[in-house]
Amino acid sequence: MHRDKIFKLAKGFRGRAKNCIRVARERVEKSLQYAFRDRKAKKREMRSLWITRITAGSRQYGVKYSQLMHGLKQENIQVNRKMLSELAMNEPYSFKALVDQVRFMQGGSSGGSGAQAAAAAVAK
Amino acid sequence: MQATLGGSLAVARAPARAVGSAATRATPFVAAARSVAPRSSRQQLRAAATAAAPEAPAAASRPEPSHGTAAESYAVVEIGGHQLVVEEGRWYTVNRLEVAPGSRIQLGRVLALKQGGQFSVGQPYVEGATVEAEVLEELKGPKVIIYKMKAKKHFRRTNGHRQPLTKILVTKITQ
Repeated sequence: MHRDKIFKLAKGFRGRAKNCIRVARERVEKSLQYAFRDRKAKKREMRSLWITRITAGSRQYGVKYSQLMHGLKQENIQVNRKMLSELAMNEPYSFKALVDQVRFMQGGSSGGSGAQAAAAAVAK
Repeated sequence: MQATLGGSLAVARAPARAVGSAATRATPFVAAARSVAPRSSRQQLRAAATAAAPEAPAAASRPEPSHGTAAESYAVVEIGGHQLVVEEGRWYTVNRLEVAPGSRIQLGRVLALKQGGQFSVGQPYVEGATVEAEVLEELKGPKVIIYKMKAKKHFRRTNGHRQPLTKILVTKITQ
């Protein structure tokens, strides 16, 4: 029955929203709409997180995210941001190799900005 | 006036919603490969540790948490519209490939490769690198309810969706 389906979806809700059908129905509808919206937003948020991690990883070596991505694009390296962030987290030497290659191809590095406190963000 | 009931104050916990955990297996996003692979489960690590007890040093009584891909050989492949870090001997869930289960396939789009400590990245693909895999099964992901509603406008739509997926077991990474 439809009522049982609503209560099944309303598990964990606060107060009367999990027990009383009139309240639960509204809350469940809202929750399904939020789920629809957030399935799309999740993709944006994950990408933003990957970019943050890549930035933290590359700034350790004095390279900004924009310069790194520009360099990778010029060399036609198509490893995407999700993978780059994974490499930056788990394989620091491989990530450093990528950063070094970009720097080499761009003909020497930019002014070394020194190891910033952004290293703390990489250690996740 | 607070009357404590008897001796035991039972803290009622709200039942945890299982929406998130059900979705980790189907979505091939971040960390899907690492968290779902059965090889490095805690039970297996513990079993391996107890089996090799005389060899293990006394300090390593607890199984160590896995440090991700710790300098072994792995490859970054492009498959099913996503990129994935694959290792030998692990299975992964990807979008449906039109391949019969039980057959062997070759993943040709290798974007980066690490073998024996040597890391190489392709432009865009590493030449001559292939990843061999075996198709284990075809499955469908958990059901997602798509619900659209406009309040006070007499508009309501409900749809269900189960993503078709394929489970593959990576057997060999070659250059």
